Amino acid sequence: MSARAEKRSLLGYRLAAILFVLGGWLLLSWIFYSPRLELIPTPWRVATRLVELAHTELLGDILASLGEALGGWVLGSILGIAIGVLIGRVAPVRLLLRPVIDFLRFISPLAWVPLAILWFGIGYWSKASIIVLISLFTVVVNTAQGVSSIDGELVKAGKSLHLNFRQRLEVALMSAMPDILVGLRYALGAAWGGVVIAELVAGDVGIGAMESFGGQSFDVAQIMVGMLTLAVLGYAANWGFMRAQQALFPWIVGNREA
Amino acid sequence: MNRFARYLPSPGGAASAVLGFLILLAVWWGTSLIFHTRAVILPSPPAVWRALTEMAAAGALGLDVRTSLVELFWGFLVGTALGLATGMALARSRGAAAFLEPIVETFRFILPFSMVPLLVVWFGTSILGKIFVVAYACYFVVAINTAAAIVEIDPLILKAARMLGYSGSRLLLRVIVPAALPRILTGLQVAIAYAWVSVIAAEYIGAQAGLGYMITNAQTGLETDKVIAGMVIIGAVGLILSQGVALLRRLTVPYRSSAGW
Repeated sequence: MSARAEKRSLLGYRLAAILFVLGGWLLLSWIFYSPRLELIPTPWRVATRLVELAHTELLGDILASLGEALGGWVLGSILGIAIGVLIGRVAPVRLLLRPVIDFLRFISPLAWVPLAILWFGIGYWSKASIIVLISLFTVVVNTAQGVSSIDGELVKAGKSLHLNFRQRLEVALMSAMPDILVGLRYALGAAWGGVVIAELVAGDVGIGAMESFGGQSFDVAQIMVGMLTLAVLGYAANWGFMRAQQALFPWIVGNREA
Repeated sequence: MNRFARYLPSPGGAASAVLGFLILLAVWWGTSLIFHTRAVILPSPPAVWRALTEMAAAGALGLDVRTSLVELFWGFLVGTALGLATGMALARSRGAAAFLEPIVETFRFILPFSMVPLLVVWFGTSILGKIFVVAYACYFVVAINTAAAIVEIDPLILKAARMLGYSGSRLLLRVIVPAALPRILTGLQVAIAYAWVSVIAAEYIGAQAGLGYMITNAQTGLETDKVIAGMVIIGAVGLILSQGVALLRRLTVPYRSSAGW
């Protein structure tokens, strides 16, 4: 089989996959059709609900979720990089903090949601604090790993050049940057799951709250709009991160895998 | 630096986590003694211990732990079984890969947690919805790691095995599986952690028992001691699960170990 013919047949498989998903969805929505309760709304029903919501509340919910995810991510990442550098380079801090993080990592950040509500109420911080925890744990581990595995020659070169503290920090950060970026990107991906769960439990605004209200009124189309919106947001965030990484650190290659 | 280093338990391990628990306990106890924090904000360690023993004595804790573990077991089983099958299909058949890849790559972005309200509408408070979330959360990481594990096998090994007359199921069981196992187990290690988180998160809404239900319920009643007690149990179970997979790894692939951080 020529390469072109093989490409065409693989394209056929891809089209079959799309038809399979859409066809399966349609079939299920017809099988479970009921005039009273739409358990599986048709794709166009979800599309019209999306348009309806886009005219009313969707944008506000997206902005609320985005604010929680990005705010928590930025704060958690800054804390994570700072603590990670300390753990990687300062022995007493490593002695004290690394075990604590090893322990806290086993309690998933999502298990903190009830405690965050008790501490912060149901406002912005009860959700953002969960994202702070998610980002913090991931970024700390990656930063410490990157910082403690700096090339010994670089450290020696820095010493013989009499670099000051700021310059030494820059060398450490830049050589750890590939690892740090992996942590940052992973945290950005995990943040959306944290946002939606926190908003489901402590929801006043946000996509999770929108889904929660949809669930309470048995509006499955609204829940599906929320699921799709979150998927698009997660995809866009990942794409934006990759573009930013390529623009800011073009010398980093090889950590672009999913 | 080396002076301290030799007192440190290996990073990422159980000993390190236990030490961390003790450090945290000391800080927590000190804070609650010095600042006399209100029990709603931060109960003292003895208060949490009392809450824990009371719940255990009443049998409620046992029920919650059992419920969560049953959900975890079935969800993990279904998710990993499907993930292993998908991963093998992705790696071994070009047609299957072309068909499955767009599906996996699309649904990977639909978050398992975002479907929790949907599953409550579909399945109510029954276990089916939880199994679905947990299986969905495990599925992708297992599928992607299994596919990568098989693709990454040195083609020379496969050629040599074929030349030595291995084919079909014998090739799969005697050559492909042992060569791919380390990476597959890495996937399972991540998957069990995802699965445990998903169990807790899925129980936050639309559940009648389980650790996730227990801590949100305690939160509504402003019983912070029970919330923290529940979190400690969640952490302990998570630790045991991850140690279990690590042990499985040491038993099955002693030829390749995983490093800490």
